Amino acid sequence: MTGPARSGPALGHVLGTAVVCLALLAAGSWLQGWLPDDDADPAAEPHVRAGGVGDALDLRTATVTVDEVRGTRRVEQYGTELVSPGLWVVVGYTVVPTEENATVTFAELEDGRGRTWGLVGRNANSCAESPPGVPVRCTVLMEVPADALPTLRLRLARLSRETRFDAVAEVDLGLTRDDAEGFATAPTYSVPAPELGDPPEEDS
Amino acid sequence: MPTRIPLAPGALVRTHPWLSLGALALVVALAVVTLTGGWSRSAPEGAVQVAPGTEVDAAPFSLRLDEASARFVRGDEDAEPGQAFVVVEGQVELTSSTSVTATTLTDAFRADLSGYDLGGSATQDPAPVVSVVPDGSTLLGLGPGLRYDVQLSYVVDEGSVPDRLDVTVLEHTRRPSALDGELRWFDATPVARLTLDVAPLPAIRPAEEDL
Repeated sequence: MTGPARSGPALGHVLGTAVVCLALLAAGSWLQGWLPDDDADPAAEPHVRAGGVGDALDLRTATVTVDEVRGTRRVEQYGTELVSPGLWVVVGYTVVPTEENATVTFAELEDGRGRTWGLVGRNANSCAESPPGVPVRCTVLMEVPADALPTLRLRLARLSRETRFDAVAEVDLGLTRDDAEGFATAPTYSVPAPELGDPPEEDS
Repeated sequence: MPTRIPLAPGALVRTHPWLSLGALALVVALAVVTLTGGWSRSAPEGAVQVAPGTEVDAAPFSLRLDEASARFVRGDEDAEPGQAFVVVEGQVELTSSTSVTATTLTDAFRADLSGYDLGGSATQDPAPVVSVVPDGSTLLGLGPGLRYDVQLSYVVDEGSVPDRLDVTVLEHTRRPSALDGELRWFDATPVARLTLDVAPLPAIRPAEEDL
């Protein structure tokens, strides 16, 4: 008398499948390390447009100009005073879209030691989108240690999550040790809201 | 036409003993590695017990925790009825060269108490709210080179405020995310433990008009 016929895959087939799957996973992991990443793709590097305070820098669909740089230990934003253990660097800049509606959402400070300060924590970038030809005055504020000031550069770009292939403005803020000392005793600075349109003409 | 008849398991093992042994060894090895924490880096040193006020290097931070107290008021916020705050005071500085977010900061601390999360749900492992002492603002991340006086605060039931609070400090490792390849801080590992005496709550909860 014979028993019922066995159904389903044989054990050898199952083991073979498992071994092949493991081998493919191992090969995939090994290949992953060889694939090019962002660092290995120089064409994707952002196009840096360097300049100084007052220079209009081309961001491809907008121009950006750093108008002024201030510093203090205390800023007031939305009615709340924020006290830094270092210094608040407050940069006023103007964005003028040239091709399409645009704004700046990426801002980053870097010093000569390679330290970077991004838009995290209490740091903020206050800017608004505007149509072509209409300037918008924006403010970025970041807290940094005083020893970073003499080598600080500000980077501005349109998109906060993606600067690859895009233009990035890099502005030497031109600050000095003397500025750091002056900022430490400066009064509280009230951060302005973004403002669209040409600035009002000053009375002469 | 010949028919291929599957071998019974026993017959397969007898026919291919080394293949079967190899497969079994592979399965056992994977199970052991998985059960003992996977392929992540181990920390054989473990966490050391430190005294309050001791500077601790817990990448990406250098920090110290000084004292703890129970309070009904945190900044401008008063505790819900039946609840209180346990507040730990200390200092924290980012030692890496790039800014980190609040998640990395709050993941650096684990207090041995039951409390409530930000949404008000009870949890056995509440994350602290980290606020800056001079102005009471919430520290939602920090940049390099800045040393903050901070308060870590936890919301707990008024009746379960501890006399002593055990806090574990954890360090992280910066590596690419397995999901998107972006460099972030992962793999929290305890590096120090400390026990803080908790100053008790005031005898009387402040009335609303006193706040």
